Amino acid sequence: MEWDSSVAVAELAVKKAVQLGASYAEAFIQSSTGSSFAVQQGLPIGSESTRTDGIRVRVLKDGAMKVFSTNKIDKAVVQEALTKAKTFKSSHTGLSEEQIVSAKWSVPEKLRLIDADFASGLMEVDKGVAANKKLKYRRMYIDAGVTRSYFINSEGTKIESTVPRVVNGQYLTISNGKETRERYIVTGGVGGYELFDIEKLTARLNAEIDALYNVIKKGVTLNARDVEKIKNVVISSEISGIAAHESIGHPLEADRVFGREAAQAGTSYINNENLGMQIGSQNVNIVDDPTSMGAFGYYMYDDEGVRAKPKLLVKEGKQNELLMNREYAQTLGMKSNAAARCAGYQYEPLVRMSNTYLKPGQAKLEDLLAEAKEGIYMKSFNEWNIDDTRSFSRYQGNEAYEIKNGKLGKPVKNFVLEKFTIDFWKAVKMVANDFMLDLAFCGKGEPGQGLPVTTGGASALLAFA
Amino acid sequence: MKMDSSEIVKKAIAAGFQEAVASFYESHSFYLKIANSKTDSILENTNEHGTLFVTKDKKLAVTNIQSKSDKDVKEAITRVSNAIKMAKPKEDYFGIAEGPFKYRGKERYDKAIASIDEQKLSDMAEAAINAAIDNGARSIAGTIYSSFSSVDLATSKNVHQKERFTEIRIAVRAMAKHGSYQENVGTNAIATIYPARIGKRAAELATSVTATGQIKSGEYDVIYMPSPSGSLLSNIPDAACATEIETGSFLTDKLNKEVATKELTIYDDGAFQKAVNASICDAEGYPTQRTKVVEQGIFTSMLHNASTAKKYKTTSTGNAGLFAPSATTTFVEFKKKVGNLEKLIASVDKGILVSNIWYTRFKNYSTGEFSTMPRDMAIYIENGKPQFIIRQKAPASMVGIRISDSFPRMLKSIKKAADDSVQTTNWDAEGTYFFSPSILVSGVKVTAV
Repeated sequence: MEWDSSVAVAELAVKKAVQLGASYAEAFIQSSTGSSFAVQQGLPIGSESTRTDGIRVRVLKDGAMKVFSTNKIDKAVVQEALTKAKTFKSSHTGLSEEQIVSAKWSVPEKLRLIDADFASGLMEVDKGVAANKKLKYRRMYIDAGVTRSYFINSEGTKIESTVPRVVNGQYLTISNGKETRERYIVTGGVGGYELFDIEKLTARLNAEIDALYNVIKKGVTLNARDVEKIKNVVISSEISGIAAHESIGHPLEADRVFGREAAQAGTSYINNENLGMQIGSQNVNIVDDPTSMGAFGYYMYDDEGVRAKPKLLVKEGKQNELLMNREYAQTLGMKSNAAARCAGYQYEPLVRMSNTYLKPGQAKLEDLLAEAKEGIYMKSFNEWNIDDTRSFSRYQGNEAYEIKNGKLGKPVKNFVLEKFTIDFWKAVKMVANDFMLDLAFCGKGEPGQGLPVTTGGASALLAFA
Repeated sequence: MKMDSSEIVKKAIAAGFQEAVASFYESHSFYLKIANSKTDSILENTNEHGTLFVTKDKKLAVTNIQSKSDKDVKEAITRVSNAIKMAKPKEDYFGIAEGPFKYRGKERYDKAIASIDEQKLSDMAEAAINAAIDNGARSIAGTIYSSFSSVDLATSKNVHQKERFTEIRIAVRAMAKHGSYQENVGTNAIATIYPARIGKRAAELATSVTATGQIKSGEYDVIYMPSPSGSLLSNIPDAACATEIETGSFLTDKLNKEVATKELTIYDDGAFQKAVNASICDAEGYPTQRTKVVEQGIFTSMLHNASTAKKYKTTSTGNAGLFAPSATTTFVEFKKKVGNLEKLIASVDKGILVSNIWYTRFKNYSTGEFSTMPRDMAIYIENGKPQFIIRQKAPASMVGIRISDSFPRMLKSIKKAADDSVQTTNWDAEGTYFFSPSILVSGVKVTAV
């Protein structure tokens, strides 16, 4: 369907919903084009090219929120759905008052995705690692596309956006014939084909393969008694980032705090009674920032039409802000901090993270190692999980090293950081001045929504009692 | 004008492709969300969409079709033509399934599910909530999902098949003072689902043990109830797919070897009448079937589509995936059944009953090492009796233990099973169903916070 006609349907939907008695209505249309290509063990799997259009209408009536979505962007279809919709018993949903906005924003593509030859690019990356004899299995994909969206609500807000995104992933199995180690690397971001840097990616993959092969060949396996003795652990941005995402970002999502996700994505150790609690040491500052241009979780307005801004989730160790949409901002008597996001027109916007990281400190990575003197440096992980309340997490070391006399020593196999959330963050003794973001897809809700985010930040020294 | 899938296939072949598969779906679904013992919101979705898969000179490409209109079909053919230009030859590709086929079974369609509305769903939610509260739950959360869909599938190799599906699924998490329990029930016949019974059972189990306590890290016998046992063992058919074997799953090089205790048989079955995800045929029109992946402890069959089957000089198992085979519904059978869950618990000296899991993650896919997090109620058992709900620390819904194991070890350490096999799922495996009994696994490594 032509864009202008789709916009007209969205505008009509809002008008019709209000006529039918809605206290609030919004419409969101989306038109996405995408291409992807995958290769496995050097053999192309296939290529995909898609175009998807759809509309979502959210209607609040008598405190009950009804969401309708369809890929048939048609006046009659939408009108019929709104007219047929029946009320159901619910009277608790309200929305915070927000500024009325009229905006148009987009992210530039330096190299246009429509002109790119993804398959040749990915085959070149594959070729660049295929000769590495340390690599036993490999699977790679690239997925890129442009999403155009239009949001309108009954309060007068109208926002149009165009966002190109590129993501590519590599599953690698490294082996010496007897033992294997695995690594999954994702790169990309918001922007054009320039984000797919073949040379840089190939170099990184080979460096990671070599490093993990070194762990297999020379790594020492610590026994339980040795592990017990380890009090100091220096973690890279990859570890601090996943920990910030899993044990800070998720539990600070207001819908979890107030029980809306209890049967799906879980609950939280934060509740209405312990807001503002001390989660970590005073060295811990954790930020969720959707305004980081180019980062995978970038946006300028959220999917409820609220202007994006950085959120300081943890300030000097204390829980500071929750991630909120308009519903939970209203519950708390506050303004939304623009954390409402959806994975597409067919989903409801939920409270979500964007680019979540441990804020850098002043020290250098070498200072952290020197301060640790003895311990472990965890550079990457390959297995993680966390409980329903986000209180008990585990990160399995992949590339990790001993710290001996303040310097990196031998590689270490399978060191596991398995901690109570509060113990983990209270152990942060020093934070480095380095900064790195890794791409990820964050899952939540039912139907499940995988959303582009980044996790990362700075390296840190954890000193456990 | 609207085309059917066979006409779309003809147009694709006329455009110069050597093979084509077109499938067109129409669907209507509702998600009702329960939070804090209330209906929170309802999401309704209606969709018409298709996919068009084509091949030419061993190049493979796929696109979506937005509608059956001439314009959208033409656009889809243009897109897939561009996509195939980008593709490279897949040298180990051997073609889609050659029809025609005779199909067994009939479609899983229930008019009552297809015509469901918000009011009916809201009534069902209320019945589940009230029953749970009346039976001791403090708070309820959950989802009721209903869907009706139809598919019109055609291929250039003599397949044209239409089928309708319905599904209703209820998840109720009952939270009590000391623990919680989550019940997940799905069916394709509304007459077999009882919201009040689901709410009542969730509450009864959540309140069945009132003491709480802590355990130490160590090795325990673990009973996985049907949802976690099915969720874990569904990894076996997944790892048996031909393309997974080729990229180093934990079953690579294990075909025809003993991988599990002789008591254990695991099927993949896309055809079983009562399975929610059952279908008459797979994505290339090949009839679905029951395939013994593990038979009495032996890894007996990989899962194939037509192309991978030809590559391995065997026949398709009805598991296409257009680009790669994929598993359908997992069925777990264990010979040594001890009776009901209570009898299985009674057979444990020192162990843990796990009612739900999530975040199952591989430490190493090639070795099958993984860890998983018990969620909801986990009960410590001693001398055959439930002792307490494990709660290592506050808050109330925190279990605080983690299970680390490997599938090769687990498969050889299943000692007993109950006779409570049921079709279930869990949030971590949305859209996936399994039929599995409660199983007892010995010597499981558990770490406690």
